[in-house]
This record gives sequence, C-alpha cells and structure tokens, in this order.
Amino acid sequence: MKKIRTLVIVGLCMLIALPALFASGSSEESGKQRIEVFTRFSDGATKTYFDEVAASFMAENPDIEIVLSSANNANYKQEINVRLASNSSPDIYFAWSGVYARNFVDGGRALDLTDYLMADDGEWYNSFITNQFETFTFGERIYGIPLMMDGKAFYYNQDIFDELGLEVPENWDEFIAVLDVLKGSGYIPISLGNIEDWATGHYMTTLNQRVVPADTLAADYALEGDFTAPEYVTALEYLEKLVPYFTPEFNSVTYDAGINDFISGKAAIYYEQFNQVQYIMPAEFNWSWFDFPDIEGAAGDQNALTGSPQGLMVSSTTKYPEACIKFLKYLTNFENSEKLVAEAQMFSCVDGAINENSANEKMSLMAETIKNAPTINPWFDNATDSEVVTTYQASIQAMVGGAKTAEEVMADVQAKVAQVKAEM
Amino acid sequence: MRLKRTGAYLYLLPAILLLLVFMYYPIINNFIYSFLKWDLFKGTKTFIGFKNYLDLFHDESFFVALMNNIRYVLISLLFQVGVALIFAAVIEQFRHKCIAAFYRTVLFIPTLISLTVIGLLFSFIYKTDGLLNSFLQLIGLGHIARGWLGDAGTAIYSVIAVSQWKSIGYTMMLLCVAIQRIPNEIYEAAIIDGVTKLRRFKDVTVPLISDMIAISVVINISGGLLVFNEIYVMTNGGPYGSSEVLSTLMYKNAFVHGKVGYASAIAIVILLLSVFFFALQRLIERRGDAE
Repeated sequence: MKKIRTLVIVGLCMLIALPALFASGSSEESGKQRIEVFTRFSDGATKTYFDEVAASFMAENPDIEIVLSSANNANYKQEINVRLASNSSPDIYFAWSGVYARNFVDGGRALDLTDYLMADDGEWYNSFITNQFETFTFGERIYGIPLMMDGKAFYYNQDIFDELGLEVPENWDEFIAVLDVLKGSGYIPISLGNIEDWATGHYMTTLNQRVVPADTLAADYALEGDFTAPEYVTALEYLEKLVPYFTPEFNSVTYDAGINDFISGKAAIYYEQFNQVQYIMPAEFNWSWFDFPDIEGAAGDQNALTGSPQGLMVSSTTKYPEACIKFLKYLTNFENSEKLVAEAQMFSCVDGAINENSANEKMSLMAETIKNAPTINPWFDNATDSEVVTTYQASIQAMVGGAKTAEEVMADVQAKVAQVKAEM
Repeated sequence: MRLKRTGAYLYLLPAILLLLVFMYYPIINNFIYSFLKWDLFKGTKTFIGFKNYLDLFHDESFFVALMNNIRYVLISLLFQVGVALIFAAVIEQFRHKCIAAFYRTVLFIPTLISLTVIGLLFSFIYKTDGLLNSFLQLIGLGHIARGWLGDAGTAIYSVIAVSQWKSIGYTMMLLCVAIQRIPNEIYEAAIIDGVTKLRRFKDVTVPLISDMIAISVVINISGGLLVFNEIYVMTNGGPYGSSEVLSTLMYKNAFVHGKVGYASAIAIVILLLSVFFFALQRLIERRGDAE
C-alpha cells in the first residue's frame, strides 16, 4: 500500500515537472498564419503605431496573426542575437541599415526581397524614396524595407543665438568662434551626455567622414584596410578641440540629461538625430538646426549626411513569406506611412508621406534635407565590426576624458582590427 | 527497508532531474562551447581547441574585469562580513528590543529595493551636480567632487559602495539570527567571570556563530564573482571598460559581439574561480575546526 502511495506521489511530481521541462512554448495551431514581428520600439508613440497598424491589419486579414514583440533600443542587438543563437528567429525583424544589416545577409538569415519589390513594374519599390534602399542593398539584391530615414545635425537655441548676435556657422573656424562666444556668456555651448560612449562615437561618424578620404574610410570600415591613414588622428584632434565646449564632466552625464540641458535652455547647441525631434519639440524657445560645419581643406566628403535609414528584414526561415510581405506592404502603404509621421514623428521613407497633413514645417524641411543628401553616411556603431566599434568608442571616451591621446586611440583600433581580421 | 530506500530515491528524482536539466546540462554544454568558434549570425561552429582560453591571457579587458571582481569580493568581505558582524553584535546588545528591531529594519530595507531603482537613485546621487557632490561642497571637500560614475578611477568603487549599502543588511540579519540563538547562560557565565564586552564578542559570539560567518563568506565570494546587475545598470562597464567585471565581459562577448565560444570560456573561468574560493574557504574552516 505504502509502495503504491509513494509511486502515486512521485508520479504526480513528475507529471507536474515534465511539462515545464519539455514544453516548447509555442501556442496551439489555430489555423492562422502566425507572424512574429520583433522591433526596437518598446514604448512611446512608435510602439502604439505598430500596435494599431497590426490590429487593423489583422481585422482586414483574419487568416494572419501578427505577434508584436520588442526590446528597448539599448538591448535590441543583444536580444536579436540571442534569438538567432537559439534558432528562433522572428519572421520580421528590425535592422539598422549598412554593415549591421549585412551581417544578417552574410549569415543567410535574411530573405531576398528584390522580386517582391520589383513585381508589378516595381510599384512597391517606387512608392519609396528609392535612395533609402542603398544601405539595404548587397550584391545588387535588396534585403530590407526602409521604414524611417534619419539624419543628424546640430539643433540650436535661436533665442540664445539672437541674444548674443550669433550667426549659424558654415565652417569649422566659424563654429569655434560661435562656441567661444557661448562659453564666455555662461551657457553650456554644446550639450553632451557621454556616459554611454556612442554619443562621442556619433561625432566621429561625421568627423571621419569630413576628414578621411571616402575611399579609405569605406575600405577600413569594411575591414579591407587597417585604419592607418593619418587623417584618423586628425579627425580625433578635431573632436578634442570641442571638449572644452561640451557639458562639464560629460563622461558622467546621461543621454537624457544631455537632451534636458538643451530643452531647458541651459545649453545652446545639441547634436542629435532628426528622428529624435519629438524630444526637442517640448522646448519653449525658438529652435532650428544646422549641418555639421565643413572642415575646409580636409580630404573627406563635406556633403554626406550622417544618418542611415532603419527598416525591417524578413527571416530567410519564415514559414509564411507571402504573409510577411503582405504585412510589410500594409505597414508601408501611403495611409499608414502618413500615420507614422503624424503620430510618431518619424521620417517615413515612403515618398510623399511627409506632407502638410502629416508634418509641421520643420519636419518637412528636415525630410527635404535627408531626401536631397547626395550621400548617406551610416552611424559609426553600425558602419563596421562590433568589436572594432567597441574598442574605438571606448578609446574615444578615454581620449575626451583626458586619459589617452589621439595616437593611442588609433593604436588601440589598429590592434583590434588586426585581431578581428586574424580571427576571420 | 529496501522499499523505503527506493521510495526515498523516487522522491529525490524530480529534484535530480531538474538539477540535471537546468544546472549540469548547461554547464557541460558551456564547457563544450568554450572550445568552439561559434558565429551567431551564420550559425557555424568550428572546433578550435584551447584557443579561447589562450586568448583570455592576451585580453587586457579580461584582467581589468578579473581585478574588479577581486576588488568586489575583498570589499564585500570587509563590509558584508566584517562590518555587518559588528553591526549585528552591537544591535543585539541593545537592552530595548524595539530599538534593536528598528535598526535591523532600517539596515535591511535597502535589500528589498529593486536594483534598477537603486541604480537610478544612485545615478542621481553620483552625478556631477548630484547629492554627493553638493554634500562634499557643503563640508568643504568640494575639491574631490567629480562625476563619480564617469571617472575611470572611481566608477568601480562607486558601484561597489552601492552594493555594500544594499546588501549589508542581509548578512547582518543572518548574523543577528545566529547571535540570537546563542544561549544567554553562556554570556551570563562570561559576565560572572568578569570577561569584558570586547572579549565576549571575540571569544563567545564569534566562535559560536562561525557557521553563519562561513555562510556569509561564501555568499559574498560568489556574489562578488558573479556580480552583473549593479554594473550593467549603473555603468555598463564604462567609462572605457574601467568598471567591467567578468559577467559583463562575458555578456558583451556573447550577445554584442556574437563570440559565444569566447564568452563560454569566460564563464568557465568564473566557475573555476568560484569553486577555488569555495574550496579555499572550506579548507580554512576545516583547519580552524581541527585546531
């Protein structure tokens, strides 16, 4: 009797434990095509936009279930890597364009979307601002749908500029002259929160582009070169010249505090993305923006705009590619693209979506700036290998903190590049 | 008798099964991964022998992280065992139990607060125009004010300090409970013999709670070697890698750089260090018992 009781209890324990051990986590088949969409939009207006568009899509397409999941901006790269490692890739996933997107393509993780885009005489393809496909195109095939375009510029407080009689600078010398006046007036000349080192990394995106010859830069970012051009040191020296004008102790200041110093009127200038304009809009002063000043005589490209599009890619292993495309077409139709602009203040890549109905005058002007940019310069942290970026950005942070010289930064980078290439 | 024993093993089976699946299987797998070059994007795995381990010895950031973990362990032992023991002994000396309970509660409360909340709170305290610098200026020490988390010389110590503030109440509570279990008669006998308070602490309290002290030591060693959350929330290993610890280094290698094999080698090093320190602590304890 005791034996039976023992066996019954143990059996019950096993019954409770086993499902927990071996459950696959998948929901039961409901007859619907289940599409998981994984993005970096975990809160705010953009998340609401995705929620609403997915809901209306499912109402129109009852045979398709859209499951939205997200990780916040800081953790997205890590989480998508975990999903890839566990072979549970989402059907549709967010990607920054450029080298970051190329990793998915090289790894065979991304579906070639060219034929879908070019069907019906390229109707879908032509609905976009087509230069936004450039950084999602690899080997003449398109692997990503650009969702939102972007650019980076110096926002400035017009009231402070008027008060001090300052003009928008057009070259480096004028820029330094403006900063000197601002510093003497008691304002923080340039607001910067660099506790996360990518903030100064973004400065280097533009400074490298302005100072280093374009061919050299492209070859080095692709790890075909070795970052030995002397212009890299020169570019870092330009950043060093800005250090006295940044927020005091900026290596201890958070990104949010950087924005707050600008919109509270403490700082006069702030280097930020166009897509972050929703954080600038609450400012109670007149504001505008200017492009990163030209560096006269430097060997780099003075006209390229820093900031590449962000978009969505489709997993090469999705069970339902047609349903994925259907959702992407719905997401990027004209009506939903206008909604993205109007409700999330994002710069849709769909041609004409930024108009007088969806955007204010400033957003329209920013969109024109992006649209008319002759070349796009991808963010530094998406432009080259992640290990090289980590070393580069950490060393830049050390340099602007006074712990390293420009030469030492480049020595670190060159050593890391050599190591990464050796491991390839 | 045999039936009884079989029943006992059957009762243990679910727990053993859970341990095997969730503890030992991942450890064995991790050990295997540490010999591989695993490209996350391509999903390719190549056997490379001990290369990941050899690379560790050429990786400057590994030694920075290792030193930070050792700092974490040593400072935690000092505060969460040494200072917590003094706190526990002093609090248990209070005649009025309600005063003792008050201090126990006050010191224990930080343990209950979410680490994310604490991280945000101390980010404000430590910032350039934060509470700590304002206080330093108020007492005439303005010259040492700085951005504590953004300075490579102070970032790791600033995080360790938060960790002590948060966790000291926990080990203090363990030690308080152990002290409360010591029979009063022993203290009364010591008082009759004219033993001073300090000697009562040294010769009565400490030896009689040595088991709990040993547990506290183990908790702090493993806590110091496995620390992740505090660093991740407050500095993410910065500025320029100065506050990196082994766990954050492992995480970044695995999930930022996609170097799963190398990250697995770091995980094995953490495991070996934990086992080493645990064995060392047990050895010291046994020698103490033998003497």
